[in-house]
Amino acid sequence: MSMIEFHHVSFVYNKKDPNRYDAINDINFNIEENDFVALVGKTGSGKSTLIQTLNGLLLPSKGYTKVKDFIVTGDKEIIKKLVKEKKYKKTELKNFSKLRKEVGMVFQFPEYQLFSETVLKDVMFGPKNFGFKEKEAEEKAKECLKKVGLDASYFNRSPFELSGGEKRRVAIAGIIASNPSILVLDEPTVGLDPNGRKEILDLVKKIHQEGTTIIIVTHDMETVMNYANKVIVLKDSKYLGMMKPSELFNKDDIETYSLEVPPFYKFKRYLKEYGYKKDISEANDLASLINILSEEK
Amino acid sequence: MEKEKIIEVKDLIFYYEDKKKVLDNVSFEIYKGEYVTLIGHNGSGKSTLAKLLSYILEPIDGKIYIEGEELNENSIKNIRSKIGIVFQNPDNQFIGSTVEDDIAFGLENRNVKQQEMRKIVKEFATKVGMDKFLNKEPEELSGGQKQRVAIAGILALNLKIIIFDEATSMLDPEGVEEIRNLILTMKKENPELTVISITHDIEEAYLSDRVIILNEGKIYKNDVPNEVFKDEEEMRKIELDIPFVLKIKNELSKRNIIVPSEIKTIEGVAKFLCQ
Repeated sequence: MSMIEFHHVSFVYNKKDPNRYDAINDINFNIEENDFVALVGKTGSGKSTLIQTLNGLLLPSKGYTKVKDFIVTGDKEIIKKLVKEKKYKKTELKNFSKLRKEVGMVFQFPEYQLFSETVLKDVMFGPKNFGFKEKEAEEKAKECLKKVGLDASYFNRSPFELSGGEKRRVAIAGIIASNPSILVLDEPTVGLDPNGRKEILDLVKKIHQEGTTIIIVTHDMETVMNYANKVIVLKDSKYLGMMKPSELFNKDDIETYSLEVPPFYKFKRYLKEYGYKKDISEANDLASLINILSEEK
Repeated sequence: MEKEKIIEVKDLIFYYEDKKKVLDNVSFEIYKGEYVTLIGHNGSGKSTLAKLLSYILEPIDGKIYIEGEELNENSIKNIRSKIGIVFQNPDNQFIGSTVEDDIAFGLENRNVKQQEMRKIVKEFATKVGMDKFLNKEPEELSGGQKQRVAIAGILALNLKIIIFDEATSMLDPEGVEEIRNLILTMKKENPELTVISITHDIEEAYLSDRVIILNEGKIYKNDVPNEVFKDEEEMRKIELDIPFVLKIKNELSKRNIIVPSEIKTIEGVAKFLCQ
């Protein structure tokens, strides 16, 4: 069984309005347990809308999103069918608190959501909200802060005096403190410098290695290339496919995907375009490509 | 011909309440018509420097001169008529209710006549490729488009210096590319315009005339891009990467394939290799 399944998921904003907007349209694909998936596509392709159906922040207008045994849908026909078949109670299809414990969601600029007077209190907020006792929440928060690389000297500091990367790590600690089995991150590295970016991505990698399924929404194809094991492409509200990152970047028709190709693959494409004669299709890193290039010159 | 100094930063010192020096005796000069990028990792002092250059902060010690005039409380009004700033967050600097209003905002403050103003707005909206969007509201624009509107508003005022304060860091790759190309076009059309870009984007830095690297509040490098980025190991030590095109050139030069220094794009290198 897949961890996450999207079944004909569509979502319409302003359904009854003249400004009606179909943000995602008939999306179908599955994500397996412990995948590290990158969700890519141009601004406005529907990425953020799609991930919000994962914890019931948005309910699909048509179709449904299945996360483990939870169903997220606003499609009345589907709700009627599931209730009639006695697979779910109507209340179960409307209450997402258990699902939200499973799916941790890190939004863009998560540091804007920090509000407590100390780092420790901020991280404790999530687990307390999910029913952990004070002491348990504190232990969990300390454990998670250590996991994101913030030692005890940070616990009693104000989150607002930290650097951009540190604040973001506090925000991530707050999410993972609730033990989610799926972590969804929407553009987690926007606005950070290269080191800050690497810190956050290495942290996500570590969380993945500990068994969490990761879905990362990103415009940064270097992130896709270096961290994800699968990439899902959305374009104009539709699903274009799921593949390995190298497979995507080697595609001849990649420009039709409206994606920024990493410089290495751009270089390969230019070589091809300008008539480079040797076969470079197997080269998937700079060292192997340079080997081929230097053999000839 | 001697280069004309447009900005001079002299022995600049700055610290916040904790008294830890964010800028420690920083001095440099920028010449008229130059395109200078200022880079450095988070905490290197570059954002503080941007704030000092735009007089959002005042130096603790040291001086900043713009066209020979010291930047201070008395001169700021006059100096603001020479410098425009494009900030990081495209949403925080959109003042007008439409693109047209936003570009016109600065002109209105200068009492430009209505008819003349419309003409100028149209001209500069065209320059940044936003002439078809004059009646659009900010919600209908992408981040890159909003930044282009901000740039049009500055260009319309015929300022001598534009400072980009991490103006692309919140944009998607398409937006980054848009702004990168727009800077180069602007410079081509108006070689006298001085551009200072405070950025994380080393690919952009490689395309500029000069790169200043700040590290721990001090100037670490101040030279042309080929010189600044030539030692990959050294860059790594201060937690910076080098542009990808230079990585290719460095690897090729180890195999005795020397790509001419004026080739600055990966497309150029590919073309060169296929000759």
